[in-house]
Amino acid sequence: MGMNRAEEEDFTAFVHERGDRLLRFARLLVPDRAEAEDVLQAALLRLTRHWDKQLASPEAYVRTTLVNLAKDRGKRKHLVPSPSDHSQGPHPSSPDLADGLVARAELDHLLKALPPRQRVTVVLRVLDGLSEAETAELLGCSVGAVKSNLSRGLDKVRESLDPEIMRSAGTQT
Amino acid sequence: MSQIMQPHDAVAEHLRTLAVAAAPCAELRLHYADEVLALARRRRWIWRAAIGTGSCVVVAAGFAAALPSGGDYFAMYQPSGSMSPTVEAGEQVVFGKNLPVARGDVVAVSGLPGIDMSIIRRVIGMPGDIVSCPADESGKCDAVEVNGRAMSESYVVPDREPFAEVTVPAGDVYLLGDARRAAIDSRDFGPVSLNSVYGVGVEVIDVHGESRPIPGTPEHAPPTGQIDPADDPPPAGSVTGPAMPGQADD
Repeated sequence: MGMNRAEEEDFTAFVHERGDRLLRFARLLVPDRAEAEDVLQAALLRLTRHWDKQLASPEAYVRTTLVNLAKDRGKRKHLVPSPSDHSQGPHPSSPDLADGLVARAELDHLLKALPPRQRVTVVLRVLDGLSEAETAELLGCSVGAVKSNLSRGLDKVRESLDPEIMRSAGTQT
Repeated sequence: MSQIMQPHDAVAEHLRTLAVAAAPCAELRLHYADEVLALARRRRWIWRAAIGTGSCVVVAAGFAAALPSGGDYFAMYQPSGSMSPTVEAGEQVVFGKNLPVARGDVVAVSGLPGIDMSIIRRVIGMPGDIVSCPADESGKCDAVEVNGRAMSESYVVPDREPFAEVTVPAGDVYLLGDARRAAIDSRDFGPVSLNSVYGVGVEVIDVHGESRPIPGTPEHAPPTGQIDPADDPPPAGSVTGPAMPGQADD
């Protein structure tokens, strides 16, 4: 059942190549970095158990698992390990990174207002660019539910947005 | 983009801008893959040792006691009300280690993502089955359907909350707790690999040590030979504790 050495090397290469992207995705799905690392760890652990099956797309598998863990995190809180003592990520050593941290903080703030399913729907539709049908399939819900979750989610984000940003973001109506 | 209302477009655009700017801040630690692999090895070892401990609280205590031993059967405490009324919290289930899994079986499962303990659930869907709980006109669901046929489950506390159709992938099973309203199961974590099923339940042992068959399962011969004992029962407080909140008690 375990992985042999070659498989472990493949797995390591996969994490090196796709890990940052997957963490970024996880980071959008759940409220903070510690939790993002924890859900990603849970998803990758699960992947190790299926690695020998040569999945067509391990990345898709991890993304689906992340979505499943994230969408129910509110009502099934214990499914997601509580934040542990992870370091708080890289230090803002360059101006780029510092800007990024500011953006991250605002993004966290805006998305924090959303209940899990709305949050996941907004992330998949708006930030990940999935279609309504793709989102519905991934979430195991109807297209109607995707529409309403997206609309209610964006309403909530708009409520917490600074009115100034809304104006400068160019509402031409 | 389609004709979403204009303000929504602006909100969406703003979110996208932020996400692009924030992206460089999410980088994995250098040896993250190694950490995961080390954890996987450790879990696999624990799995092999068939730690059937009922509660996170006793994982540490049970560690030494639950090293693999000889019998074909093992007992495990049910730590929560999620299989009530079939198996009440504090009762034990005797599992066969080498029995084939069939629909209706009550099984011991470990290694689920995010759940650091073994749990007991019922197999509702086998690989290839289509499982759903369709809503009627009142928006409620009276019976779980498998491949379009309603199951008669006299042993469950029904939930009546509908859930969407799921096709169980090859190599997986769909699990539900008998306390439908309270249980955390495949409705939450999806179908589960057969690899994580490590025991098939053959009987329940109540708190007085009396055994009884498990309702709703395929017929199983009573256990023979040595039964590996369960770890210590979970401490009283943890039985209805935070791990499985909101038990349905009627």
